[in-house]
Amino acid sequence: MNIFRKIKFLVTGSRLRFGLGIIKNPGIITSIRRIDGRYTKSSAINIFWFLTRALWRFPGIFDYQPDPSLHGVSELTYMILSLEERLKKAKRDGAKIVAKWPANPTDLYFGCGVIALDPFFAGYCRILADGTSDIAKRGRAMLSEDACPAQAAAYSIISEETFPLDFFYPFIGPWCYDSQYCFEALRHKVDGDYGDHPVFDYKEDEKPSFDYMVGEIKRFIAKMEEFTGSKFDLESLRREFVIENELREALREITGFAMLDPPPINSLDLVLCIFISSDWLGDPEAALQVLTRIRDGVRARAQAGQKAQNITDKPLRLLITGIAWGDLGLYNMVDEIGGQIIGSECVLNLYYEDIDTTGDPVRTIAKRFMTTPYALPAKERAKWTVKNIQRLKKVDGVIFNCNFGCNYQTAEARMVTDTIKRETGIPCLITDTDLPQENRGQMRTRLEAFLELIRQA
Amino acid sequence: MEFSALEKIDDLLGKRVDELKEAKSSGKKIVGYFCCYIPEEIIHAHGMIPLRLSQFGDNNAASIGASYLTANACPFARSCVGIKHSGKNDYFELTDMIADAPACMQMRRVLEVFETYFNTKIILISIPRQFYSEKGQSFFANSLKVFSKKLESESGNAFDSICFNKAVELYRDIRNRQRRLYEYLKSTEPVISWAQVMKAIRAGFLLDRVKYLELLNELVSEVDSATPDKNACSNIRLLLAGGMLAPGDDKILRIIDEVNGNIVMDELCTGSRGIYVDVKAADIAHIARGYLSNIPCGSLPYPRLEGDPRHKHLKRIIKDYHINGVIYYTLRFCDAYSFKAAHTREIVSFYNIKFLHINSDHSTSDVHQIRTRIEAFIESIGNGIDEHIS
Repeated sequence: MNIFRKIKFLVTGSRLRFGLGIIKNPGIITSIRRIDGRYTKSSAINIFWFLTRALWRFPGIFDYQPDPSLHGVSELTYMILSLEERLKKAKRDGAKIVAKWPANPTDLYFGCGVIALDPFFAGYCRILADGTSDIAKRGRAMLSEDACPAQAAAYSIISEETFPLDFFYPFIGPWCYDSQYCFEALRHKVDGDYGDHPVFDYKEDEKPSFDYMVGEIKRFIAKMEEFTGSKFDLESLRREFVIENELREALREITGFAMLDPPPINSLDLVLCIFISSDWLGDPEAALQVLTRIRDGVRARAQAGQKAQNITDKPLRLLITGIAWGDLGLYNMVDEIGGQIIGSECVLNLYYEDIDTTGDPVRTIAKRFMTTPYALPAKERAKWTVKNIQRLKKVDGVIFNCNFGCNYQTAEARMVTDTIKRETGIPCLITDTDLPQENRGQMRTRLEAFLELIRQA
Repeated sequence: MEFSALEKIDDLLGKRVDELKEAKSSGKKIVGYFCCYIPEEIIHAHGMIPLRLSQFGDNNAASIGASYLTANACPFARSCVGIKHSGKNDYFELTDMIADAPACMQMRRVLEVFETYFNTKIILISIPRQFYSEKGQSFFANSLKVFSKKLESESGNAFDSICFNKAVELYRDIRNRQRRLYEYLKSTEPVISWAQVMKAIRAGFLLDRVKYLELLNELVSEVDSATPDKNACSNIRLLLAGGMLAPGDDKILRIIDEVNGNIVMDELCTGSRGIYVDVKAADIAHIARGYLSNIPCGSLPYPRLEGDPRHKHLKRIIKDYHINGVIYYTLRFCDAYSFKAAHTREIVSFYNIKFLHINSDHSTSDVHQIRTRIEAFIESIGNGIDEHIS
């Protein structure tokens, strides 16, 4: 579809419908939480105008096709595209923005009264808005020719001050190793520190490492107290657990609906929903409203036996392990060729279970850090993935994706997929992706061949 | 200049595999490792033989390793797996277990591959990222205690404080002699070359450590009594810095040699970095502190630019060794070092010293490009010196 036909489609077709959908539901909270805990509201009309302007300001949205008839997708698009502006406004209003990396529990950051920003996903938001990978290319030129596209984009948005950031405080350790060096390479731009997430033989019941982790979290809290000037309150952390548990629950439900036949949600919409668990796009409350709306929409479709747009009949269900594709166009492609993405292991790590709200919140967070499946040795991670595949029951194929330059996933790809094949007999495919849009042709060929293989099996 | 101690080292290295086989048949356990954060003192004190696994640089091994780790892993990590897969490296095959405290997380996965696909016994030691804090050091001390207990059960030798004291003393002496060797390189008319010093240092990865100390003593007295060969001196004084440059991976060294580059110092974990470990007393806490207070591996990030211990060390070397060019060599997909290139360049440029970053692997496809770049680099340093003199 050429660009002119696409604009016509967006303005006069389904886009218009989803625009009207927003107007019918005014008052959604869609702006960043302020430091004092208050929220400002974006009216439906504001969202509508923002998205209308987005046609010109964010050419990247022409490149992917969410299902506009699904309730909540327009608000989700708004949250993604407006992240940069909302964060800038929040900073002007006095909020503190602190960078984390994907596996770090957001509860801890929001619970300490700061806004968590995952530069990794913020970089992808920018790529999505721009419709080009230029920021990743610039980041790579400054960082290293071997940098993974997510790191390169993250480096770029911070070093070029595209996204506001006050402080770096990721917890570093056994996953996404490159991010610690990306952060280190940005020391000239942003002040920071990091928490230590111990690795290897130690488990929760092994006191030295658990105590060390608890100590690191306390150090983080003390730093945030100093940074925000307000006393840390254990109750606020516990309240954050409650809100984010609701978010996790909503995501689990949406993922569960994706397993139904016919599927009420397509691959792209599902992935957009689960992606945001990395930092809730800066605003957990707003994210909860949006996800609840999407979940209700998906549930209504499921009850009516209605199939999502863009998806074929009886699609083959694929689970993405490794790192999810950063190129959103690939999710549309999977739907087109008779597949369906039913989940992503990397993000599933963040919402697979609730955080216990009853115990000591600091120890709870320490436990969460140390039991995140992604952070465990490859064997245990593989076992956890197998368990989830068996729980989901209807997985037809597993794709293990590695980002070019990702030291972490590449080293585990074979160990994890060999275990999955051995334990479940499900076919696995290891893919290697780089900058969005750059290898769609090859990926289409590989995915078509993979689906063909599954069908024959 | 030739030194008879170096010839003896060569001779002993040639016999080392047989020696190890004999020791193994008499019941001695051999503990292999890759990373310089492994305290050999503890292995030695348990009556076991520490062996820093060597002989890399083979692109075929790296290619085989790619089938386990994918082609996007660093070539050193891939080589480790490829060598193990081939089963042809005596040192790899002779080890009873591999212990490592991998600051580099890619190496953690390598050990998991060893365990998963080759049934290798592995012992992992958790190393803190907060290497500069007291809490981090005490955490590392705990990890080392666990390590020591594991070795106790593997070797069947209970921890003996007398053996431990002796081991700490032995390694202190070895490092003293190694530091002495590097001291000679500070002179603008050195009697021993950097390549010879490197040879002596790397022999210490494999040889029996008691015999090794004797040879180092011999080498030091030989060098002390030698006179410099003024014809061999060069105005161009290069520092070779960067990531992993394993024994056997000599592509960059050959190229520098071919274009008459004169390396006088290195900042490598397989070269000078290990010699600055200072264990002040014979107990685990001091060992932990000694290793973590050393110049850190690039795989352990430091959160602030100000006070970065790597930068401090680099500045010190540049001054003490009269460096006028830095070649910063990184292996592809080693983000720990390649992401640091920009800041390192800034530090070096501050002293008006030329800096060249080369990012490569074990293949020979880029040899000519690298040669051209290094030639031009050395030429530019030479021009700078000429301008300075005129």
